[in-house]
Amino acid sequence: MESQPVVVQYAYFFLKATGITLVLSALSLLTGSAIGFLFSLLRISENRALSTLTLVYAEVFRGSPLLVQLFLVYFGLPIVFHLDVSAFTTVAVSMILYTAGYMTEIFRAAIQAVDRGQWDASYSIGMTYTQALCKVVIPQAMRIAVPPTLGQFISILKDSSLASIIGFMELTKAGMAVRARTSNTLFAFAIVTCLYFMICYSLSIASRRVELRLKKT
Amino acid sequence: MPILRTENVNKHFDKLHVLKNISFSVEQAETLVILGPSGSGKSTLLRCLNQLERVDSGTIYFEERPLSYERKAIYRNRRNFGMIFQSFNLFPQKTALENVTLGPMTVARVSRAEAEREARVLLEKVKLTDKAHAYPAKLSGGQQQRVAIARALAMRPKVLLFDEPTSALDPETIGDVLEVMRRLAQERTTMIVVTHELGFAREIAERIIFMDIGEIIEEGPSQELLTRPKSARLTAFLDAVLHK
Repeated sequence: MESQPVVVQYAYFFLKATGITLVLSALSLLTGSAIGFLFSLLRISENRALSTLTLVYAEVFRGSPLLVQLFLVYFGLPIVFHLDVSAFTTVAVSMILYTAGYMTEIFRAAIQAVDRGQWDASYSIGMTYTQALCKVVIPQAMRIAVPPTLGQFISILKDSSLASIIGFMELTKAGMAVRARTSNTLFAFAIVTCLYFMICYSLSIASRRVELRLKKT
Repeated sequence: MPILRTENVNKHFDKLHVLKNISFSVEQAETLVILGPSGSGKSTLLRCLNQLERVDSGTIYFEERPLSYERKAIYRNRRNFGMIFQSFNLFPQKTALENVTLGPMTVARVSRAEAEREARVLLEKVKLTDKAHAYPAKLSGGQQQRVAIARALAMRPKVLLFDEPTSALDPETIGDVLEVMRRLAQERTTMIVVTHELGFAREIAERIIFMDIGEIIEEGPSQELLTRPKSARLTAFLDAVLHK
């Protein structure tokens, strides 16, 4: 063990942390998207109260730093609800709420980017608001929303590094741990940077491909 | 008894008075053409008829019953009308056939098999049998507009509203669309057509309404109105269109 190079020694550790970062980010994106999608529908609805409420939600969660929100959940939940939550729950809840704010706006913009004429045409053949929305507008809005959603994924993946500050063992925290163990700062964070970059760059390439394919059809 | 009638209809967009005391009627099986320069309120008038827009005052009667603006009544009333748009507004993610079947399947709850059978008959009527499985992006403007006509007909409306159906088309594809409209008129379909095609108006329309700046300026049998315009504004409009 001692004779092996450090890269090999810590390979498993880094990979595991990368996995956690990926799972955490994917979970935030999926759950955040589900909430954001629902909120976007309320946001464009004629119900003033629900529309305003979701607007305020999106503005608040997009208008404050994730780190501060993380602190709020981490220190706030135990005080207000006497809940003793794990680091993972804290991080996941914060990231989901934060992503939901962005996804609300991404979906709202996508729905409103669908040509007005599509509503006119749907209504003219007798469709109700819900039918026009579900059968005609949302399928088109989803395509519009794909590129910004992938962008959001990249963004939340990088932001998940903030979880290290409250001690959650994801990729950045793993880098800190290896640095402490080996006293080799440059080595630890060079590896971490490479791993983040490899994931984000692949996502970025995927996003560009998807965009090209959507443009064609 | 007119199938459709409006009484002193007014409509504003903010401070702009786009429809001023519009009163007119359409008889069953009639083809009525609405002429007028851009911005005269023709499209808005059509959109008020199937309640895509709400009138500020005045009443629209369909089969002598005033239109209600209660949500469900609006949905029900729209089924009396089929609308054809200047920019086609086909559903881009659906094939020609699916564009035609979507209404019957979701609104009229017709089975897929039945809807497709009828859609094929309609696509044949607009001479697009071979394009049934093509997506709108692969069709020419004229073909898209004919799919749009088939889509409107699939709901079996009582009145067809055409909002400048040929204005966005290349000259070589206009003919096919006008041909379909001519056939519909011959089959005694009730049609209200906003258009700049004077030839079509003269040949097909029984009656013409000329609008300018939100008002009906002149109204009468098509031959008479086109050959002997009474108002200076219609004379000027006809000159401008003919010498374009």
